[in-house]
Amino acid sequence: MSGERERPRPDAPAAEQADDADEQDEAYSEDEEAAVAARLEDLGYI
Amino acid sequence: MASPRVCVIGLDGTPASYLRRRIADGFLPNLAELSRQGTLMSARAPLPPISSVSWASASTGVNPGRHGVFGFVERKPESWDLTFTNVFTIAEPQVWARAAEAGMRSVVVNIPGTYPAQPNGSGVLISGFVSPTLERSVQPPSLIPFLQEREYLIDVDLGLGHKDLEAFCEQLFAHHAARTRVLVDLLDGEACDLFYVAFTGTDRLHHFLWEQMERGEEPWASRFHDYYAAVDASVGQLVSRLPDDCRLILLSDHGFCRLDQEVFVNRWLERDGWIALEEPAKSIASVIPGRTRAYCMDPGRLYLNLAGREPGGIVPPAEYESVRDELRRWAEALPFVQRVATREEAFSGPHADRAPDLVLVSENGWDLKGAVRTSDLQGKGRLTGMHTEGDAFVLVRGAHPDGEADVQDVAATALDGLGLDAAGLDGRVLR
Repeated sequence: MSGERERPRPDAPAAEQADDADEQDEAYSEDEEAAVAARLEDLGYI
Repeated sequence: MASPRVCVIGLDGTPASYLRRRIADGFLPNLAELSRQGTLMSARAPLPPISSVSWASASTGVNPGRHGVFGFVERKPESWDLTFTNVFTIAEPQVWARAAEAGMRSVVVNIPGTYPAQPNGSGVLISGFVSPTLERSVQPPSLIPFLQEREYLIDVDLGLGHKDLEAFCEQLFAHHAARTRVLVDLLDGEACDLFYVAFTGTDRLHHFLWEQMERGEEPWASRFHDYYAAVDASVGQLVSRLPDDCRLILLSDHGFCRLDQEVFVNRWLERDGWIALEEPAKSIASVIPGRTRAYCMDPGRLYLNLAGREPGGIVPPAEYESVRDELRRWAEALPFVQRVATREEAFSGPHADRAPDLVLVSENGWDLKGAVRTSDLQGKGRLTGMHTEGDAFVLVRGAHPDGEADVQDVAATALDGLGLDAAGLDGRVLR
């Protein structure tokens, strides 16, 4: 076992390119999350 | 080098009715010419009609129950904390991924929900809203200097819309000019089979200036129409570079109308005993689970606080149907609700089990919010326009289909134009 993850197919949905929910959750860093929250708040989404 | 076989140009939030009215009044010459070459169809957005959901449908060709995006924010699994949807949330391949698999090259720019940018085969992808940094929004990253030289901005400073409308408009026009420079240069310089791009300044314009436009309030009404003149000119610049046999698709991802009141649905739930919140409440994480039977996520997504699904959920699974029926009747009686859709009515597919239990569709003018920062039931701030499910548009050059389009038809029509199989999608090919 090399320990490397299997390379996703080129047409794989992005969701499959993330190993697990944690990776999906880490799409935004903590600093980025604050910026995202501010933008969403400016448009009234949160 | 403008070679694409398929070109998709999105105008975020542009209503079919606005385009028809302005074209009838003699404005928007490029869009007018295109509407003579193909039917400017009214189109419907998926529920809820917000960009993250709708662009996922427009790029995958399927409903949210299959692509898995139901909003900009979600509750983290087994937690009341919020997380933000992103490219990894999209559970179906987008058109450009299908094209890459078939050995084709795509240029994709500014499509909401595509952050962080993922490698796009040998092609280009520049993420759209919500992209907090340019560095992680560009594939390949070697394109970043190209964008910086053209003063490319992913989005305008939305905060300006709340405090300085003149500065907001100034930036909106500059941002649009930079976006156009980048798109024109990419179309001239990058050979591709698929060119799939969106102008999102239209949505920002609508959010802050829709009512002023409707009332003819100057200088904002003129700014509004001038902005559309700039958008029309940009569309003309791009279309003039396309081969005649390129399948050209224009769309908006949802419609727009005047916002009269923002409605804070969780406060209505609280008034009638469905939810309890710790004050001062900052987000749905302030919920008191033991005293909550239902809650709302933006914009009008209702969930039961279901035992075994929500942390501390108190609605027994055996009572799911009866409590949901009770909640539905409660929602249908609210003065601002036009209709209520169940999960089964609105969604189908492997991710429908993550969908809201009910989706509220409001009357025009009543903008549903999941926010809990205010204790008011409703109010009005600086936003003067709101999204609608209907009155989006789709236009396919040379095509005159009957009936109303669905936003998800865009992906099916694009795949068909690339010679790829669109069977199995929820969207239909518009010919």
